[in-house]
Amino acid sequence: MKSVLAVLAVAVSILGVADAIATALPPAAASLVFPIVSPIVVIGTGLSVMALKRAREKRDRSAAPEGVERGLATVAQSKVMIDGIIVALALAVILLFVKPASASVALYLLVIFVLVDFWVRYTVLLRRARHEH
Amino acid sequence: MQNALARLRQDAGLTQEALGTALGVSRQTIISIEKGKFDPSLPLAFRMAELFDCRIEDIFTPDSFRRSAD
Repeated sequence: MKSVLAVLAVAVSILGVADAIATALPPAAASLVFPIVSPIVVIGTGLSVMALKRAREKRDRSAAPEGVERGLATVAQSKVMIDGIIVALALAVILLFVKPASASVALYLLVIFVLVDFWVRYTVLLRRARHEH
Repeated sequence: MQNALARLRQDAGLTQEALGTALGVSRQTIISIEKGKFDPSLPLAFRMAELFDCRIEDIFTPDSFRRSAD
């Protein structure tokens, strides 16, 4: 977890430096900084976090198909599915009645919610399993 | 599901980590099985039986069997 946070901190730092550079450059050149830097940072961060996750799973065999972690992930996924449907319905109602509303922003919020909800539920289940012993 | 995994492991002189490595699962999985919080898959149960050179029934006993035996 610390290594993942370190990767995220580096990514945010790079974006901060890019922002500072963009501010110092003339407007024409500044407009090119983020379209170039952002995809590199996002893809690089994603690949780094994925590599760290794979390395951890290989070290403690937590990705084994017959492991308890897989069972806990399945439980978390089934609960996130219900949560996701409820939140999607809530966002749909908001989009219908709140003006102006952005469907793309609502979709982003839904995706972020589902990802965060899964990791919170999975972490809680894993910690509960560990503390029961 | 009741099981004798902890006893068999200790008799074999294995740690939970070593047993997890031998079976290809995490230590957490071994802990959960020993405590009866997690029922292993059939292939994993067969691998345990093979490792300890016994039958699956020697390791695992369904709760219903225990109740009827009582």
